[in-house]
Amino acid sequence: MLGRFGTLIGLLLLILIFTALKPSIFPTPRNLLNILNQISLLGICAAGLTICMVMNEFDLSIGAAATFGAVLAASFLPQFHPALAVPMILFICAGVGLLNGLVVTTLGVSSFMATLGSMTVLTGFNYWYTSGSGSILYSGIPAGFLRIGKGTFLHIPYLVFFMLGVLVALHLFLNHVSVGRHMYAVGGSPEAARFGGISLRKLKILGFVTSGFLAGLTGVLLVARLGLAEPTIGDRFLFDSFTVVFLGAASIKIGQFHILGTLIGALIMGTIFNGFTLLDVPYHLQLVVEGAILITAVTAAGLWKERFKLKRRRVR
Amino acid sequence: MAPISRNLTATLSVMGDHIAPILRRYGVILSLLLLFAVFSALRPEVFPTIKNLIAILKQISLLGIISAGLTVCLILGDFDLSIAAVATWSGVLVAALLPNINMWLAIVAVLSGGIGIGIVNGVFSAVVGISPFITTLAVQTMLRGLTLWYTGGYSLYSGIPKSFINLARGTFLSIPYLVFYMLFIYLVFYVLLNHSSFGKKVYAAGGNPQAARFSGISPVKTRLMGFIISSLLASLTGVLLAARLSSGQPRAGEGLLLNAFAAVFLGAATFHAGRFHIAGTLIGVLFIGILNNGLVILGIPFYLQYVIQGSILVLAIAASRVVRRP
Repeated sequence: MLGRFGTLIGLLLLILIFTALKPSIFPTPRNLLNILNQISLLGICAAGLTICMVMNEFDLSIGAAATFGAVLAASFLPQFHPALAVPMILFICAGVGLLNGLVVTTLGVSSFMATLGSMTVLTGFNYWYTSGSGSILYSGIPAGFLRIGKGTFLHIPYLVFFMLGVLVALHLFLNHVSVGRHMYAVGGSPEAARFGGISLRKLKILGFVTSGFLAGLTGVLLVARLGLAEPTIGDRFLFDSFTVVFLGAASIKIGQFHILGTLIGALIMGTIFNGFTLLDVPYHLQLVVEGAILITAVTAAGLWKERFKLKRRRVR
Repeated sequence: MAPISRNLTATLSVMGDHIAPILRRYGVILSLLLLFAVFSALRPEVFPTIKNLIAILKQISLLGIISAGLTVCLILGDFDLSIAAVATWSGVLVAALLPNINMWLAIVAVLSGGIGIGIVNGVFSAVVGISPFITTLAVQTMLRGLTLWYTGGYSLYSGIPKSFINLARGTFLSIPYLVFYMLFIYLVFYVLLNHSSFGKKVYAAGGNPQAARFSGISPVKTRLMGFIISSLLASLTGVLLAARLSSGQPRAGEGLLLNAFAAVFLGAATFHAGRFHIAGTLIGVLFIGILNNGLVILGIPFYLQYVIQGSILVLAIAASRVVRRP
């Protein structure tokens, strides 16, 4: 029983440790909300990735797509009203996702390579659009928009609401809507899914559209929070999202990618970052700990799974 | 349907039956030759010269070495995401050791470290059974932290002996040593993977682990070897990179990860479509090198290079997968 909740227990342990080390600052509601705020964007991006990973498709372009969304936001918002600019941008980002999906399903290119290619293309575009010299776009963003990134409702930041909204929506979609459940079928056994009449093509395309859309949303919200965009702004979301999603696959529903797990993974990363910052621990140590926790969590989850299965190596 | 158009359709589909397999097998090579032709046409006095071709080989030599190691892992079905971090860390470590100890000792020490990292990757991935994606992701995160901690973000450039730098910068008959290293490694790996029992084990374990086990091959041990080879070559790449840069730089390996995967996957789309193999990887590396070199010679700004590279990458792979749907 313990193994299933291994990561949750780890999370609680982290919280306890940090509370013990900084009792006056860490366990305060303000700081906990701070953690949620810090992971809100990562949560949104990782949620999109989760949908793709459920179907065993890798989307490597999410980092560049987030930057893309941010760059577009920083350049459209000075000229257009947010209510017009944001949907436009999200539509474009979804379109990029659609392109990814088409290349993977119709051209038959592996998702790894297809999204590697689109990531490269997007990166080039991002650098070009920011005057090709990596300069920062920051002028002319309306104050009202910035309030989205920094404002709160009942002390809870808007961004946290965004994240929770996205997570709840995707969770319900994957678990209680037939299309979403079909995605798990596709991920579990593509052959069986096809025999069951499920269109793998359409679902995979939907997956890529979703991850592109959400990565773009992440970028837009980045601009709302930071008030600027520069060509590497979304890069960390790539590795961080994968870390979070895999941490999620080691939680509760072990071996399966799922939204709740992704949330737990994001909470773990956020807690570590927050606690370490409060303790003045340098960033490089945080990286080491992150890696160690990832390995430990997945090892524990894997070992737990082994208890109920014969020693059988994963057959490709 | 009128008889003429029916015949036409039939003829075209028969032709397609013959053309599609050719495209599939040689799509990448054809694309490569096409690139070569285009660049030669656009810059006939610069591009197709011996000097430039040697320059291309030199530019891709390090990518080639690291991709060769990655190929073994990918044949076994394992994604090694840590290769860039291993290379960077090795470069930093060797730069730190060189002022203090004998050059060859330093190199051996660093390469042993690379083997050690490979063992860690292999143990967690093959023995414990964690997805190699995660293991190597975690390891590369930790290595990044380690590198950042040790360098503080700065490059290490003092006390690097000339003999070390010469390892990467020297030439023999106007061909850089680096090119010889790369070609030698590819030769070794070609023989190893295609004409030795180890190579058979690698392909067997990668193709069907269950069957391999029944044949007395241990997929676990073979995969462990795969990770060791991958990290060892990544480490070697890092050392040579430090020699070429005459310094240990904390961001040295950055472009290598994705380019290496691109090269190996491009290779898998060549000759034996769908199978990773060392000759294909060399083609893939050449492809990337020629593309890169040509775009630079054309004076295309780097961001546009990215756009073109990404698109051509995908197109080349797509071209080699053209299949007539039944």
